[in-house]
Amino acid sequence: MTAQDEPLVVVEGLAKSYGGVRAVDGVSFAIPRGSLTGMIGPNGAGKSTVLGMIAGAIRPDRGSIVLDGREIAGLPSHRVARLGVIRTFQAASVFPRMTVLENLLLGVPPWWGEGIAPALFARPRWRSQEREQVQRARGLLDRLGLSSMADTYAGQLSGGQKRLVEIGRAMMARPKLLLLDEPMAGVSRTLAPAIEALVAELRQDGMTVLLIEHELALVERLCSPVVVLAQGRVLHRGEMAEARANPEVRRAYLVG
Amino acid sequence: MAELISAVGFGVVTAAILAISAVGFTLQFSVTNVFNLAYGSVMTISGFVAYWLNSSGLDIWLAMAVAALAGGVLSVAINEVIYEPFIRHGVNLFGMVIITISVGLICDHALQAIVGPSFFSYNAPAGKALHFADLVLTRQELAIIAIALVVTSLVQVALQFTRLGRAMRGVSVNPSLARACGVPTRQVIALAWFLSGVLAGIGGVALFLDISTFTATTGSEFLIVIIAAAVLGGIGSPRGAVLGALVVGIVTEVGAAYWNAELKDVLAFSVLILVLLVRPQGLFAQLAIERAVAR
Amino acid sequence: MSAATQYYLATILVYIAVNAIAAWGLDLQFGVTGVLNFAFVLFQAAGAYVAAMLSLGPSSADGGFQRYLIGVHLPFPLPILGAMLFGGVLSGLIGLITLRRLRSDYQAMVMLVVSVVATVVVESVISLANGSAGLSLIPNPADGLNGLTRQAQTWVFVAICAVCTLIVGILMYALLYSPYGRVLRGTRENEAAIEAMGRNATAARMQVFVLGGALGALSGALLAEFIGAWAPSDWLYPETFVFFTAVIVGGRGSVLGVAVGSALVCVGVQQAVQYLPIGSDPTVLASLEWIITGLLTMLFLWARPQGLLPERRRRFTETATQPAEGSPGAGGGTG
Repeated sequence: MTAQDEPLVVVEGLAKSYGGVRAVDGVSFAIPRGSLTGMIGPNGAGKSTVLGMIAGAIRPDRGSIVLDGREIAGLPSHRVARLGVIRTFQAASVFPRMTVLENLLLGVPPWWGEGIAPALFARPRWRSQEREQVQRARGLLDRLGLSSMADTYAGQLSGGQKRLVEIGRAMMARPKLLLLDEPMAGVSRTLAPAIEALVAELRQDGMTVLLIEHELALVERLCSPVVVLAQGRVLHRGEMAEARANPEVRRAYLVG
Repeated sequence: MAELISAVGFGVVTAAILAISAVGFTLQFSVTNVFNLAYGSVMTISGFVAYWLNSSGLDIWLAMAVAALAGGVLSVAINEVIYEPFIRHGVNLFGMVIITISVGLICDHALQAIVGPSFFSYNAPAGKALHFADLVLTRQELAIIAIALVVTSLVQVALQFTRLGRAMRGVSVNPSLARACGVPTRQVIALAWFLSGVLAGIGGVALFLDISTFTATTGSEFLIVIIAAAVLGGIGSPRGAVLGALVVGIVTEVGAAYWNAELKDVLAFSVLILVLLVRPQGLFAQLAIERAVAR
Repeated sequence: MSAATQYYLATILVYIAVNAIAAWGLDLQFGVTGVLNFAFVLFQAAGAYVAAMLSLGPSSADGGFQRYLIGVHLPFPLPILGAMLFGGVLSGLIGLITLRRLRSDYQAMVMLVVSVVATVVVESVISLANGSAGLSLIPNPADGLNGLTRQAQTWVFVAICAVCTLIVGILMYALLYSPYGRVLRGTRENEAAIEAMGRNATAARMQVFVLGGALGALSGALLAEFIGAWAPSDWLYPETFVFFTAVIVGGRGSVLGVAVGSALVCVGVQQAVQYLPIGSDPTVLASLEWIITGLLTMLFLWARPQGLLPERRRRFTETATQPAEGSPGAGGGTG
């Protein structure tokens, strides 16, 4: 197995309890490099908690998360993000009173121009770099179909448009690993295909993605492999078709 | 030893006043999720209502009862006329804190403009001093302690055993679920504000009785100590508020007796800040574990 | 222009300058980054006290009628710089304690309590800063200019304040209209998202806490040197609320807006009530100032929360590069 064949992320024995409730109870799986891995399961299965722990937003009680050979479990979210793990949120998390363009600019990984000293003393130097970032962002807005909204406050957009901005912002970061937490939530039927197409494009471009979604047909179309969670535990790891055939999985889901 | 006992005695009286006030403050917060920094003003205004009645000849304890009622009404009015509209208007929780501060300042200073900056006192004799070993308490102080015991017990009983009390606890833990279960949340919230105002009224009059002289800003100045007690015990928990009041009341008086009387308040606040750093949910979080902390 | 009118005008200008600087400090914390610093007036007070302690000379002077720490007689501008340094350090210490661990609503309460504690400590521990009586005979840097008349000296101080205000204003523009400013606003708008994009929200809040604290201290230092005296009654905890009103009324995050807001709320209201036909009882006037301030806050939070001069939308003139942005990268990492 060459380095490229090694999974990008290996999760081992992850656990988290709230009060007496075990939201995640010993979850282990791997995210292959360049894959669009799906994570499904009924409500309360612990999917968002697992994603939160990978992203550093939630501290695991136990377990390990290895990203590209490096242990990241327990690191705070801003550190994890700097290591190349970018996430989206269930409720599209934009910066409401900032323009769409500024939202994308904050997707660029933290850079030297964001310090206090450059702000006060090095205007010409960061200005030229910012110009490049703006050009890149505008190009991305074209790709997302949001060019006309560049100067609109992000808070005024529809749910689907916010989601596009959020994913666009993640793309600005050129992440190693993109975590999408129910990207279809809050998205209108008109924009849903655009978002699905975008996610498919990201996979084609070679990005590694972990996708949590409720709509099983979509997961079947896009994702390979698929991890099935229920009650905080992994029920199944593998292809969607196998999952469908697994009686335990069928039992966990009241609706297919 | 005598000093300690007498300090504890003072502490218990302070704790009694604090307990009544802190329970009112924390109960309302637990149900409505609004930090009402105008609470001190409601205490002050109720205290002055009692003052006006008292100077016209009414016995102070009857005046306290009327003042409590006035406090309840005022509290509900402030919520209905000011807070609720702002909340519906979309002001977020930080904006609401600033709104409550504004209301408090306006009330205090409107009152001050009317009554002037002077000091006032009730016409209420302290009564016979009663000796319990080394402990000396006046009739008045005993009455305050008794009222505190009765009031806080009533509140606790009401919350545990009456339907309204359970409804209040339900709204405090999960308002939308409560509404879905048929709890009349609007009425419950209004009741919480009323109760909070009544307790503010009783606490305000008790405070003014204990400190002998008061001004238009006394209530708001005391609010900081109330917040200390309420947060110490675990914000949103009436039982916690009582325990927090006991801790603050007794620790400050004992500390003042043994260490430095001037730094009495500093001691209370330092304890608070220390506890918050080590245990942000307050000392008695077990009592508060039912409720989902705001946000 | 008579001497009295000159002095009145000079006073107004100094107060406008001093309040603008303070309001900008709070704006940096609250308006731009969303930190509810309910202890802000404490930093203005700290600056005032330290400037006094660094310029008064030994406390035994003048018959030793006031007691305070330090007590050296440094030349201008050292007391002011020292005050700013202390303001920054004090903010840092308080920030380390309060900004890190507590939830936002608790944070606000703890700051309020910190402000009250500070007042009680200063009033009780007389050797710190002369207790409730406060410090007086604080020298004004312009007093040392022997060749000038009293009035000219006053105008020199006004000029000093004006220069400080200009510098701070330029500083504010530079900070806010920069990538740094963008990170601050992101922290205000959505803390979870800004952290998910690799920025440390707590660190950003600490930084503006220190910067804003230093600005508050500068404001206090200038004010104390102008008035010549400073006591706990000058910095009771509700005073912080006046600055909040200034920022809300003027326009959160807007440099010019906050300056206008502070001129209107901190200076304008106080002047305006004196011209109302309700007599001249100082208590009533003071109460009226508070009532108007409270009403202004509520009015603006209801009808115009963005303030008189809202924060300006940032626009960029660059256009896209020719081909639309291609593949976002094949997992190359961000390094």
